Amino acid sequence: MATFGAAANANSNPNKSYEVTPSPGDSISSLSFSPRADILVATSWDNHVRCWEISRSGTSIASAPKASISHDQPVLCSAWKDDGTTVFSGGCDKQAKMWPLLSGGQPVTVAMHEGPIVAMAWIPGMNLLATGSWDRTLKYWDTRQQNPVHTQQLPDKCYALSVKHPLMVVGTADRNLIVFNLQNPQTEFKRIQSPLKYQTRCVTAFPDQQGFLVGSIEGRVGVHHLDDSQQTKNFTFKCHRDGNEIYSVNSLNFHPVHGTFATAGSDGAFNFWDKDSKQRLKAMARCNQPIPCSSFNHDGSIYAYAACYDWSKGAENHNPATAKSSIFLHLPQENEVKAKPRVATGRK
Amino acid sequence: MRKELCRNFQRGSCRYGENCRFLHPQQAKPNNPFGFGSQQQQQQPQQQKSSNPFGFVVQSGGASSRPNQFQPFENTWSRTGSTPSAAGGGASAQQTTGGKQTQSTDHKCTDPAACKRVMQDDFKNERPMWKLTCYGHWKYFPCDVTGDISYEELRALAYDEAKRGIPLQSIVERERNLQNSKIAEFENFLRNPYKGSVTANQSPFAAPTPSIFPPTNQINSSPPAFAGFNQQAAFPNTNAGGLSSSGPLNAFASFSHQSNNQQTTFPNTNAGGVSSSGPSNAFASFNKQPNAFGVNTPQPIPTGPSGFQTHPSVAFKPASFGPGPGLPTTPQNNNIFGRPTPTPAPNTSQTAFNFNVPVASFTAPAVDTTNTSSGTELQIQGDPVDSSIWLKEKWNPGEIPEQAPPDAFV
Repeated sequence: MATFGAAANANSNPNKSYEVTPSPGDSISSLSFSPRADILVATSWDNHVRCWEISRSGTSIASAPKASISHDQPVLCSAWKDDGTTVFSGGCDKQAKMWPLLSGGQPVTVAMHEGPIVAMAWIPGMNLLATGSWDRTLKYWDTRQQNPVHTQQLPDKCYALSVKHPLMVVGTADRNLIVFNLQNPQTEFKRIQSPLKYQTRCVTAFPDQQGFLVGSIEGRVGVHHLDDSQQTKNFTFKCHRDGNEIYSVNSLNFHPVHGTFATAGSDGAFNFWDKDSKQRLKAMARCNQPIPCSSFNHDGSIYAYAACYDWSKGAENHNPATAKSSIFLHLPQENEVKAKPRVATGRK
Repeated sequence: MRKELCRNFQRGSCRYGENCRFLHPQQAKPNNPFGFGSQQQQQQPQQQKSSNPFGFVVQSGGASSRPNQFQPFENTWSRTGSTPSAAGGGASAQQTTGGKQTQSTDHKCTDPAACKRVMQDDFKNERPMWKLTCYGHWKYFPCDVTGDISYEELRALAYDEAKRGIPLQSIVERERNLQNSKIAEFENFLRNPYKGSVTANQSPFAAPTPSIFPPTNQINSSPPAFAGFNQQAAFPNTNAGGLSSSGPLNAFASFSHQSNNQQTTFPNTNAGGVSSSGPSNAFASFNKQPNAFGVNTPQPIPTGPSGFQTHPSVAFKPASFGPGPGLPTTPQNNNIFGRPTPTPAPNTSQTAFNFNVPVASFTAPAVDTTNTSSGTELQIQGDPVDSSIWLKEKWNPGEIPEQAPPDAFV
């Protein structure tokens, strides 16, 4: 068993990604890169929000922990302001905090819900923070005011949220997907039921705002276009399955430059896909832990993902004494994230 | 052009479009020998067992090419109920208008046997590992089984219980019960997917069915028309998973009216669910408790830096459940997931912020949100099923009421 340790390490980081240290004490619930610089923020079930400065030169990469704040309860989501100066975080304490970390300021509470806040996004066009909660509401906040600018009732608990101004997509429990045009935020633009059959896990809007991706617990991703005339381009595909085991897709992220996207799942794998040519570009090796969240940096040169327990097998698989939560940084190669032309089938 | 129907087009997306060498019927074929209408239902072949590992259901050129032949799990039933034919003649049996099925076409479950096959197939081959989920057998259509619980909800509950000193074993026990009752719910559903009365949305009687909440609360605004979907009777489960309107107590008071319940393990569902009843009542109160899973004592971490500082690595001490310094006292409700207090007009702007910007970029007209007024009242139906159901000569599947007829009709 001399090499046991080595084998375990290989399984926990089979892609030889760079590990960000120090690793949080409990699972990571969200990862967000600054839109302006390579600063990574991670929220965790250990109640903390931490940030690291990532420096990259060529193929080598390094990270330096910078600062952290804490909430009273596990933090579930985070978002950066578009100017890269401020981080928002929210979680089980039903509050969202605004942390002007670039200037070294103290965090302030800017939002309150009646249930845990599970998703949030900064809306650049309106200078508002949108927060989604299990209390079935979506609230918009002007950070200078105590009361929300607007409260939007949702059909069910909010599970996921994605904004590509002026498109906003909200995924709720029981497979509802609600699309908002943020130029008219008080009215639902469209509400549909998910093209997938089971619980919605994540949504992300296309960079060109023509539609969105939705991931579910059934190892499947749906590609949905908003325009009625583009409905024929909708499709779904399977992923994150291992034999008969069907894992959930926990995270969907578009590459900021190439328009391709990455999926990360409870099977511990992350893959890169091209929806226009309907191909998988790259399948990465499976970590021995689920990947609950991931994020590209602002130019797509770094892909951060967390490997930690996501509760996909309940409390009995949680062992706080031995649990390890890691944040890895992967440098995508061009062939992994660059869009590929469609495969010619030679039909004609 | 070849006379065979294009399989990709049937599924809603053929990349060749006009140039495709297979047929793309744009509307109902006039010379259709089987008399298919334009609303031909077609099962989304999401569970094809072909060599395509990713199941790109619309593109054969993508991952791998599918042979153009009879697919084992494809829905080959026709509207007239004729038996599916094999390849060759099978093309016409699977005819549909392309693209329609990917939109919210009316799905009436006109062939319940086929829909049941879909469900059986799903439960056999497409059963995800996570069991606390809703389920809908038809894409873009409402759930057949409701009551979603996500990983984070379960985890938040477990952490909360741990903070209050509940041992891990009880937490595991509670979760297991929850999972078992959900699995039982699915099995029940599969046994009898069309039990229950007519839903309000499709019913020509316009009858409010045994529902506790107004239908708009649960059902979306897209054309529903699902005959026999037991949407309403699944409400108890929805409630267990997350209440949609005023306080939990009210909802449970009206559960007793719910006789139309396909969930035999109903009490368990509630017990495990989010709402506040059941054996392991997690929402009694929040108490400050020492760390139940204590591996490390909680460390106070400085809140807010005074500048970008480099923390020593020991500052990020691993902490297990609830390292926070203490629990906040809950302001008003005990439910961890929070219930919105019924507000009369939640959508009114509270500041002078102006939302009156004309819609510019989206082409389709904005859908008026219907959920502002709902969710604040509790409708308790005295007479759940419209009496006229008893006057019908012949019942369609899904319409058959579960209760005995009222005395007036006996």
